[in-house]
Amino acid sequence: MTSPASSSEVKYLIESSEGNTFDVSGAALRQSNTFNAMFLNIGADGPIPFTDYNEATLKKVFEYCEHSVNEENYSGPKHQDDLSKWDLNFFNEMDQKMFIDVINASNFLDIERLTSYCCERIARMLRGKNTQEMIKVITLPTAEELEAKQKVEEKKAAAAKKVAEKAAETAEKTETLEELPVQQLVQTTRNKLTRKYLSFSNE
Amino acid sequence: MNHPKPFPILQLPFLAIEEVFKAMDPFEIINFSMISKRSKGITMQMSFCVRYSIELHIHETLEIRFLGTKSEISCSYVMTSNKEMDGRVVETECGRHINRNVLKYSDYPADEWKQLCQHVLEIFKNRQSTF
Repeated sequence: MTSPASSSEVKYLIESSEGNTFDVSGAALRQSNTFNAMFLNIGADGPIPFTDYNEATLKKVFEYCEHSVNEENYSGPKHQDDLSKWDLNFFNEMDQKMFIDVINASNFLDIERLTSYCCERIARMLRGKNTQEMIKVITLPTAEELEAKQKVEEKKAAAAKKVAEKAAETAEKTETLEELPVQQLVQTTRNKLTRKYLSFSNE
Repeated sequence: MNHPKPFPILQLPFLAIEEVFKAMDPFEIINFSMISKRSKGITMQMSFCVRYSIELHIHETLEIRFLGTKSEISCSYVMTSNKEMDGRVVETECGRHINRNVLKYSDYPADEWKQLCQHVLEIFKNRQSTF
């Protein structure tokens, strides 16, 4: 299944967060500096667990790696306008969630080329924008949203404080009961019983 | 201008944000740092190598100039008291040298320039600056 050999024929099994496994060629995986540091020289006995990322994301990342296997060595970021048609399609067909997942996975796997292209794409979103326009792009919470969030947090903190106070009170009561001398306890119980007996006899 | 598609950049890991910064010019970096305290903090944390030197100019106009690699590109914030010129970008080419000026309007250009200088020097704190 997996071996330390560096031949591009070698296939490695990758395990995703769903527990599913799939094949990736050694040549594609070697574009990941994380993989190189962890498994290249020692090989892997079973599936390589990249369980922080789902199957779709990992497949997308390795699809890019498989495609760029034959490209010349990476030498710094390439201008977005110089990207091939395949590259542009690759990026355009991703939705935003997938794009963020791919950046995160690519960042973890340390695939320089993919990370830099993705980040260059994000930088283009901010190109030529002033602060107000950037706020719209970055989707920062508005003042009302921040206020609402703060209120919820304050409520939570107040509830937690109440619970803590109650717990402290209960602990204090238990302690005082334990601390009462035996004679005093006997006396209290006797008084209670006497009161009960008297109320019975009156009836 | 068409509506920009929102993208939660601040949710990205720090290294990815750093990569984004590498593809931004100094104006974009400064604008980003002005968004919020968090964005300013992130900008100040950036550790990638210096590509710009900063010059603060006081003559007929007040300017903050960023000189790029081998001084082929320079970007300047030029303070103006003409409201209509606010945000206008003027690009001039002088041989191989490209100069990009962004005009910034303010009722009190000197105060605004001083604040901008402080902000710029703060966010690029580890970098060289000349007066």
